[in-house]
Amino acid sequence: MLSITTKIEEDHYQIKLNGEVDIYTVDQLKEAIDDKMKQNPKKIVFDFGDLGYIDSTGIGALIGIKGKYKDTDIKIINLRSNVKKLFEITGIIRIFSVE
Amino acid sequence: MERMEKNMIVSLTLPNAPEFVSVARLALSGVADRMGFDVDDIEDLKVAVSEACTNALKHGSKKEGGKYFVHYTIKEKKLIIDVCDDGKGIDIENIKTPDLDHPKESGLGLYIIQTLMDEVEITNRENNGASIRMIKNMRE
Repeated sequence: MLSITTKIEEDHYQIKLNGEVDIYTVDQLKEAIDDKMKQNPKKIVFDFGDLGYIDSTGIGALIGIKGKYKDTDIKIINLRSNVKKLFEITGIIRIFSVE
Repeated sequence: MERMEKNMIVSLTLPNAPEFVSVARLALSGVADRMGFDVDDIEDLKVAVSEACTNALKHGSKKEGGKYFVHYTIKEKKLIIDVCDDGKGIDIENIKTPDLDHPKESGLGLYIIQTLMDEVEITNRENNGASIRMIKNMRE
């Protein structure tokens, strides 16, 4: 299961993921981001604090989002250690601003 | 683990439907926790089994009612996971190591499995799909 909530802050969208991103839920993530991007935000911040699980399907989606919305500043915060480990293994920690 | 018998096998038959990959993770968590794997190893194992299941869904039979199998073989100091599909097999010769300086959207699954597990073996059964065997040793 995955739930996605968005908060509009002064200068960015804060998108919080809660649950798991896998082959079943990944389309939900892609659709939610495409929907938010219609507003043309200059910056989005993903809060991964409640994201318990992600695998290559989710990581692939994030790489796709980064490539598709090149002009948007994308930051990811509050990565859990298991998620951060996958970011490091796959090298995507180098293409995102991560805190 | 001391009281557990050796070579017990927990097996799942899963439909070729993405919503049930999480069932493989849940079963894995139960088995690995019972064996005494630590939390970090269980997280690694969950990712590895999901990647193999995702692979089975992508490469497995597209027929209605298609299914694949996940077997957890419990050894004294290691867990063997077999994920077997009934598709056309994996093009083993053409498995590439991803270019981590230029990450792409696909092609990460098998690489992640190989990074997280101690041993990985991919075999194609003649006219009968592919199997991914993954082994994780318990830490001393």
